Amino acid sequence: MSAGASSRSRLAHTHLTGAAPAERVDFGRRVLVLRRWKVAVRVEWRSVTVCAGLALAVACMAVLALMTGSYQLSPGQVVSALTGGETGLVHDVVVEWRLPRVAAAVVFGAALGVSGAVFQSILRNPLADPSVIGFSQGSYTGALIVILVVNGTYQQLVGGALLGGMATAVAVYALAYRRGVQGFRLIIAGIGVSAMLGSLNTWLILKADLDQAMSAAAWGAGSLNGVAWNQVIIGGVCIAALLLVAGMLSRPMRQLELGDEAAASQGVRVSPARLGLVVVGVALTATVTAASGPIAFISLVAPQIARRLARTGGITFAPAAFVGALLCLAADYIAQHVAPTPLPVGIITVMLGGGYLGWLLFTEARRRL
Amino acid sequence: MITAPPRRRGAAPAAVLLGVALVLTACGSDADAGTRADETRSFEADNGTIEIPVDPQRIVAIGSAATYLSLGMEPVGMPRASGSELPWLSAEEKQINEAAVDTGEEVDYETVASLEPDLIVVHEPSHILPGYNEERFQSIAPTVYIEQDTANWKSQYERLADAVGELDNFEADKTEYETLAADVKDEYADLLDSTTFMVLNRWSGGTNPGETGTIFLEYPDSFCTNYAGDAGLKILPDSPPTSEEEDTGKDLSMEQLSDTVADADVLIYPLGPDGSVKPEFAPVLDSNIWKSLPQVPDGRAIGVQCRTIYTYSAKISNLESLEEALATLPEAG
Amino acid sequence: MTLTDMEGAATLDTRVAAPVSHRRRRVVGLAAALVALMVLTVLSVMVGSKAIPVAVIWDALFDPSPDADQFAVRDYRLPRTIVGLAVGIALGLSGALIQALTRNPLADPGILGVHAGASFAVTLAVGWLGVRDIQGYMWFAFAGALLVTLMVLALGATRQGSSPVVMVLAGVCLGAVLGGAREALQLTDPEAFDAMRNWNAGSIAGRPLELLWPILPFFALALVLTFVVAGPLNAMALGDELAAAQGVQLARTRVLAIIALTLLAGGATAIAGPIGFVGLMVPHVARWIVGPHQRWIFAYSLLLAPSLLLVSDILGRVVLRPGEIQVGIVTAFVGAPVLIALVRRKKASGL
Repeated sequence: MSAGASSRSRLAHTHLTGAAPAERVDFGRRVLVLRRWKVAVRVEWRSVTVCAGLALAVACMAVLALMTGSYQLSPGQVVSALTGGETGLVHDVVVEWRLPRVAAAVVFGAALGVSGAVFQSILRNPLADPSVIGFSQGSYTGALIVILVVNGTYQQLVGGALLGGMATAVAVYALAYRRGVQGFRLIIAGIGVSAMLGSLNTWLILKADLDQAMSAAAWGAGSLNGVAWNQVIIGGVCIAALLLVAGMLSRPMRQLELGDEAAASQGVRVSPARLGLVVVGVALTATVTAASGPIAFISLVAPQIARRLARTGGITFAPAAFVGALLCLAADYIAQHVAPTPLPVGIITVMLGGGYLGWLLFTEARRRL
Repeated sequence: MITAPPRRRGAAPAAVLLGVALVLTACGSDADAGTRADETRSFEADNGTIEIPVDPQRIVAIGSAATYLSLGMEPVGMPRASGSELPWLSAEEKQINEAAVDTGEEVDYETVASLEPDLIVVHEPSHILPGYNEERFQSIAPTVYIEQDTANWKSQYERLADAVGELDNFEADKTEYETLAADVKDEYADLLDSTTFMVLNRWSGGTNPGETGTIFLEYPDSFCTNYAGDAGLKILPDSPPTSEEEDTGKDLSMEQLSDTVADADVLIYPLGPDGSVKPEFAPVLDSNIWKSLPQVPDGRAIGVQCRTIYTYSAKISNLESLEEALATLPEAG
Repeated sequence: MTLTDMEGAATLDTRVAAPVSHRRRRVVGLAAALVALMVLTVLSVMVGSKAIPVAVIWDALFDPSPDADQFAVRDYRLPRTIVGLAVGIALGLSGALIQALTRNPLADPGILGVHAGASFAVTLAVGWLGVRDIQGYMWFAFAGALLVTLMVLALGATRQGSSPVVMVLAGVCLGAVLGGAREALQLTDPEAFDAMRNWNAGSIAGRPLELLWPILPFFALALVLTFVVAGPLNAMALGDELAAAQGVQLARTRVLAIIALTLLAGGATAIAGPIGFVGLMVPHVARWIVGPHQRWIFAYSLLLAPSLLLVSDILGRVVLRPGEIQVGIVTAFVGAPVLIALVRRKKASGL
């Protein structure tokens, strides 16, 4: 960042926050450190406001989702059910049906947002998400085989999907590995393997009866229908742990964005760091896939929207997580209550996310005119 | 072969669910107890033994709407029939279809709950999917799962009729079907004795609508051959490969058609609900290869309606169509 | 972070020097590719799910009589070979165009929303209008592909001309929105879903030649445009500023290239359904063989893409005999291992 931009940002910071004490504290330091610190603060301040705004939006959306449903309940009933004042079906509808679904949308959406951020950062490509290394296609293949060939139970389906996704990710990583993994090679290997599995999936669907093919397609779309607490809690614990790891890896990730040499010169162990990031990114998506099927497009679009909202240069986790949560929640609301017939949430995320990103691009293009 | 694998697994999960189900049914009927003092009975479903009302009044029916409608029942809610099933429905069935509350492609539990059903019936294989939460169904009302496939449809259809309290309609249809099948068998005894049939089909899924790529040769006891067997038709190949028990048939390319059908005396191709050739099969009839088959100019290629849902009423209309088609064969006169 | 980050620097030395030996090697390679394509064309007529004697095939072509096997050759194998040639050429060239245009290894015609547009239009035609034959929905596919690409073009337009990065993102967005809408339609209408699952696989089987003729003029126009923009695209590979300094009209070149690639990809998709891998892989391979020379890349793509398509189609007929596998499914299995092997063998800079 140039000195000019830096001093402007410093101005903006002091102007907006009026943070005189911070200034005073810093005067004793060297200029370089001060400037770097300043930039960091500016970025974080903007991120914090954006995150706070997004959190508020998520909360509002969650309340709306809790209040809405085809089982007619007054706001009073909903509140009383949430505080434990109701029994029977009213309690079930609010606490056992609506609440886990809302929680799932928030947690899973956030996980997908972060997962996408990880991949876009390490591959330095805004079109990247975990599907780049074949996870989506692989998990779909696994699920299809369970549905069509083994005709298994839901637990087997989840197992098959995870196994398929993980195996594919490992295979792609191994195929791209040649004295280290390089972004370009990873993408091409991912495209190749995904294309093969995608074809296999198309063929499996072609060979199935219509009923089974429809079931498989419904799973493949990604749905939060019928999500229960145990799924949310197990998924939530996994996701929380993974987010923690992601947070720990965020500094090396930022440095990797500058290039392998630059990162290495700052003491980052490039290969382990990248492998760790890939594992975290895949694991986040895998957890969501296990609980709800592959909910598409959030991981692709959330980091991009977050980057534009927070106006950060690179990819950051927190805004991406909040955007992901909001996107997933809003999409599920639309899928349940706005669409003419209840639809899998994945179909709406695709349209909503795609539409929003398209609109952003459009307005950006207009502004440039 | 991946087409139509066996669907009756899950005995173990069913056993596990049994306990859960019993507990939950008790809860479910508690909530309902105040509204109706009705009797219940134990019902053997795929998901265990369920206590269901003897005379259910408000049924939510999840699965193929056309199958439920064929039983003459009037569900308060179901995923409504749409698309390809609509042209097959009678005027009365269409009315009931319209009257039912649509529970959605994805089951909307809150809609189901707000309908206050006293029985929920689920009969489709997709209940293993995330959208199907048996516990949740059971907390609304007693829920029975009954699945069907080509092999077990007769017994499962009867259980379905039993569960929803429409055994009378079921028996009437069954008797009509059996009488009709016997009639056909009787009327064309000589012809059926000396003739072999091959049943061809095309699915829009397996083959492009406008494309003449592949044809589906149905084995005996498959989608469009199970009723034909009851009517005494000899369907070729009479001993299909036994390695995959559940095989319903095999794909043929147009190139292989002439060799494959050479042994058959009569070819049967599918008709749609309006009595004209099924749109997916029409390009085959137009092709030069079809026209060059020896059976075709001799009038030994006949169109027979093929409605594939597993109900007696569907099979009855298929049989009626078969009877008409047999009458057009040169040997029949 | 931009889409062009991954692009290696154009290798200036080969461009400037272009030694005679290089040129000869390229010509020889091109001739070999042509021979391979001709062999495959013959094989495509000879090989099928049923073993038809060579004599019958000969008679079918040169001494026709109304015999089932002869019809099989004349009505099925011959048209699908010709359709395969045309569709393959179109896919290869459109892929080469979009990769040159966007300088992105992820780019393939599908990324500009061509497949999504075509697929969505066909779903509408099948689901809402009840169109049931391929002649009917070919035009929907074509129109859908054209419309969506035009929208992407409009979204990518800025004062400075169109930006490939924005265009690709716009393509992905539109593709996603339409894909979602299509899926929603399909899930709520089992019949449409049923009809579409085959179209989505992509196949050149059973397309009568009458389907191909009306698309050919579009292909011809696109072919001319492709070779018109080949030179300017070559210059643009070095960067927009450099190209502009050489007198290349950036905006005009981009618009012409997009028109050409849309006609090619849209036409191919209209006839065969979405066939994904050919347009992505063939130009890569061509570039690895000849280096960053657009005319050579186009020429190689022109021959390699139909070869890949025909090989895949022939394999699809014999692997699961008597059943057939749609060519769109096989192309991935034929193409992907080659691509992965190449990316492992070559050093990092793929472009």
